[in-house]
Amino acid sequence: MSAEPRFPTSTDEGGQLNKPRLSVVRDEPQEAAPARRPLSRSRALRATSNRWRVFVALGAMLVALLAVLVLSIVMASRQYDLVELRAQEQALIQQNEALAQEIEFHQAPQDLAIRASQLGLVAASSQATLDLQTGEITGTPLAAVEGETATKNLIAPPALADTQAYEEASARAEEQRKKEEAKAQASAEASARAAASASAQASVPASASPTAQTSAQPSAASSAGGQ
Amino acid sequence: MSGTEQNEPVQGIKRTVGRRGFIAGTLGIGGLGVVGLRLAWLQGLDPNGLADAAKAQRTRKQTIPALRGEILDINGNVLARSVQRYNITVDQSAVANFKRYTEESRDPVEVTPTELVYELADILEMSDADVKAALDGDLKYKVVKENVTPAIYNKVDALGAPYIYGEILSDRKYPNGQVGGSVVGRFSIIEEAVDGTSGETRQVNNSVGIERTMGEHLAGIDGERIYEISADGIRIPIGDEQNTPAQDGKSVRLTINQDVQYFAQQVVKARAEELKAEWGTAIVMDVRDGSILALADSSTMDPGAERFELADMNPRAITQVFEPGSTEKILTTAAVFEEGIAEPETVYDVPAELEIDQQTITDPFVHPAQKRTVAGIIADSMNTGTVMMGSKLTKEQRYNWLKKFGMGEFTGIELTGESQGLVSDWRDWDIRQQYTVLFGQGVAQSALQTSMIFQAVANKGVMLKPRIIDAVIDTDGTEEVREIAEGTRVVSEETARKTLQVMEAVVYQGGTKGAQINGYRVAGKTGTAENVGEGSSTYDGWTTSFVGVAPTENPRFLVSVTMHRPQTTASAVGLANTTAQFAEIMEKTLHIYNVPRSTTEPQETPKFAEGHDENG
Repeated sequence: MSAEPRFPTSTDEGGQLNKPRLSVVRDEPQEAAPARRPLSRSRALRATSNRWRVFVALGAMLVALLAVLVLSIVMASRQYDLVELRAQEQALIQQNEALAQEIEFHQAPQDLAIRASQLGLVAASSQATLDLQTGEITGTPLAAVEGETATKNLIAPPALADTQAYEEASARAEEQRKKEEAKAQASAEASARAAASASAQASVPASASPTAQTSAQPSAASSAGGQ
Repeated sequence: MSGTEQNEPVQGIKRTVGRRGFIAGTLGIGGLGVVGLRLAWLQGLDPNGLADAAKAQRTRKQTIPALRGEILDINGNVLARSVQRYNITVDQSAVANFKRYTEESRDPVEVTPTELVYELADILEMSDADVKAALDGDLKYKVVKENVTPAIYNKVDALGAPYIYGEILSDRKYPNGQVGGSVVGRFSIIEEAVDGTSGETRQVNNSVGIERTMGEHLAGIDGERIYEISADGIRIPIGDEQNTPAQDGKSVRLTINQDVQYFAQQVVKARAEELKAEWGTAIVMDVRDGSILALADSSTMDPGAERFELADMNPRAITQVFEPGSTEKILTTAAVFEEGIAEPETVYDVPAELEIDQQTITDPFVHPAQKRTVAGIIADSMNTGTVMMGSKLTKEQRYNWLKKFGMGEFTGIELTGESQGLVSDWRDWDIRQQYTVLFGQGVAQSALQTSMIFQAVANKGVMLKPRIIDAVIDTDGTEEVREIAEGTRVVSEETARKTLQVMEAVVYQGGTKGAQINGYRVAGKTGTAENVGEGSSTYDGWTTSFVGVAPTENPRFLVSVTMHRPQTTASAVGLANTTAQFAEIMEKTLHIYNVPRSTTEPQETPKFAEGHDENG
C-alpha cells in the first residue's frame, strides 16, 4: 500500500523518527536546526496527501465515467423502448379506430333498417304515452302488423368504405334488394294472374283507369293470397 | 535523449535542448498549432457551414398532424371521423432479391421480386400485372396502392421487402354515407399549382357543409417534433430536441338526429320517385329553439363517394329558391292580424273571381260568390280572399312584412351554399306582382326561409335563427354549447295564436285532411306554386309543399315537405301534394321524442259567415 500516507510520528526500528528524505533538503543534525523541522515535515506531509488526492480524483473520474457510460446505455435502451412503445401506441390507435368504425357502420340507419327488416321487424303504427305522474295513458297502442307496406330501404350504404362491417352491410343491402325484387316480381305475376282470371270472370275492361287499377290491386292480391 | 553528459546530476536549472529535440518540439508544436488553427477554423469560424450541415443531416423535423375532430349527431352518433391509412409505395430502383428471415428456420429465405409481386397482389387485392407494372421501372418513388387500412399495411410490412414503404396519411370517413351527407359536407383540401410559377403550389379548400363552416374548430393545430438521429435511425438521447405537441381538432355536435334524418330522407325520396319530381326536400325543426333535426333531400351526396351530383352537395332546403305559393298566405294572415285589419272570423264577400286594378285573381277551384271568414279563406287557400284582406296593407307594408319575416335575407345557418332568395323593392313591383306577393308568387325564397315564418308563428311570434350546431366539444370533453339566440319578436303572442288557429282550420276544416295525425293536433298550410323551368320563360311546372307544426296547443316540431316540378297537370296537381309525407315524418318525430298526445280537440273556426255556406 504505497498510497498509505506516512506520518512523521511513526517510528522505525531504531526508535527514531522516520525522516523523509528529499534531494533538495539537506540532512542536518537534529539538534542543529530544530526550527526547520516543521517546514520539512509540512512539505513531506503535503506531498503524501497530494498523492492521496490524485488517487481520489482518479477514482472519482473513473466512477463518473462509469456513471456516464451506464447512463448513456440506459438512455439508449430507453430510446429503443420509446420507439417500441410509440409503435405500440400507434397500433392501438389504429385498432381502436378500426373497431370504432365497425360499430359506426353497424349503427348507420340504412344498415340498421335492412337488418331489422331481414329479422322480420315491423315499425309500430301507433303508440301510447303513459304519464308517470298521473298514471294516465293517452292514445291506443296497436300491435305492429306485417303488411305489404313494409318500408324498404332506399338509401345506399356508405361508399368507398374499407372495413369488414362495410362489406357485410353492402352484402346485406344487395341481398335485401334481390329479395325485394323477387318479391315484387312474384306479386306482380300473382296480380297479373288474378287480374287475368278476374277479367275472364267479370269481363272487366282491360283499359281501366290507372286509379281503378291501383285500387283493384290490394283486392287482387288478397284473392291471390286466398287461393 | 541525446548525450550521456546531460544525464549527469543537475548542476543548475539551466538545461539545453538539443537540435533534434528542438526540431521535434517545433514540429510537434507546429503540428498542434495547425490542428489548433484547423479546429478554430472549423469550430470557431466554420465558413462552409459544415457543423450546420452535419447537424441538419442528423436533425429530423417531423410534423405531428393534428387529428381532425369528429362530427356527431345530437345523440353522439359519429357522422364523420378521421382515420389513419397508408399509401403503399415502392423504390423501383432498389427492387432486387432480398433475404427474408422467418420464425420457422434459422436460415433466411431468398425472395425474388416475382415472388413478391404475387404476395403483394394477394394482400392488396390487385391483379398481378398491375403490381408488376408498379414495381417495374427506375423511379425512386411510385405508389402501388393508395389508401389501404393499417391491417393491410401491417401484412405488407411483414413481407419484409426493403424497397416497399408505407406512407401514413389521414383519411376522412363518413359512416352514415348519404344520411345527412349534404349537411355534414365533405372535407377536401387539395394542392393546386399556382399559375405562372413552376412547381409552386397552394392549398385550395374545396370542403363544403359543416366540414367547411366549422373547419377552423375541426382542424386543430399541427405539432412539430425536432430531434437528432444517429446513423441507425435511433434518436440521439442527448441531442437537441424540441417538441411542440399537436392540438387535436375539436368535435362538432350537430342538432341533426340521424334517425329522423334517415326517416325523412326515405319518405322524401319515395315521394319524389312516385311523382317523378325533379327533387324533393324536407325540414324537421324544433320550433322552440330553432334546432334543425333533419334537412332531407330526395338525392344526397355521399361524402365518402368519389362521384356525386353537384346539386346533391348542399341541402336543397337552403340552396334552392322558388316561388313558395300559398304557404306565404300565413305571412299575409299574420300581418293582417297584427295590423288590426282582420280577425280569424272577420267576414269577406269573396266573389267568384276578383277584379282589382284590371287584374283578375282566380282561385284553384270554381266557386260562386261566398261570404267567407278569414279562417275559411285560408282553409281552402283562396287567392281572391287573401288579396281582398291583404290589399288593405299598403305596398310598402307588404314589403316590410316580407322583410320582417326574413324574406330575401340569409337565415345565417352555418352551412354552405345558402341562397338568400329574392324580394324586389316594392317600388319596382308591377301591377300584378303587388297582389301576387300576398299569396306567394312573385317572390322567391328557400324552403328554410318559408319554414321560418311558421317557426315564428308557432313560437308565440318570436323568430329564431335556425340552429344546426349544438356544441363544440374540446378534446378533453369540455362542451361549449352554442347558445340559443334570443330571437326577434315578429308578431305579438296574440297574433301568433290567432294565426295558428287559422292554420289548424286548414288541416281540420280545409282540404288537407291528409296532414292529420292520430292523437296530435296539427296546424299547417299547403303551397302549390307555379314555377318557371330552367331555360323556359313561362310558368310550366309546379312546386307543391306543406309546412305544419304539432301539437297545436303547444307547438314543438315543424315539418316542411316540398316537391319541385312533379310530373303532373294543372287539374291533377292537388294529388301531387305532400300532406301525407308531412304526417308520416311528423308522427315519427313526435314518437321518437315521446311527445305527449294532445288532450284537447282541434279548435273549430267557422269557415262561412253565419247563415251562409259554400253556395253563397
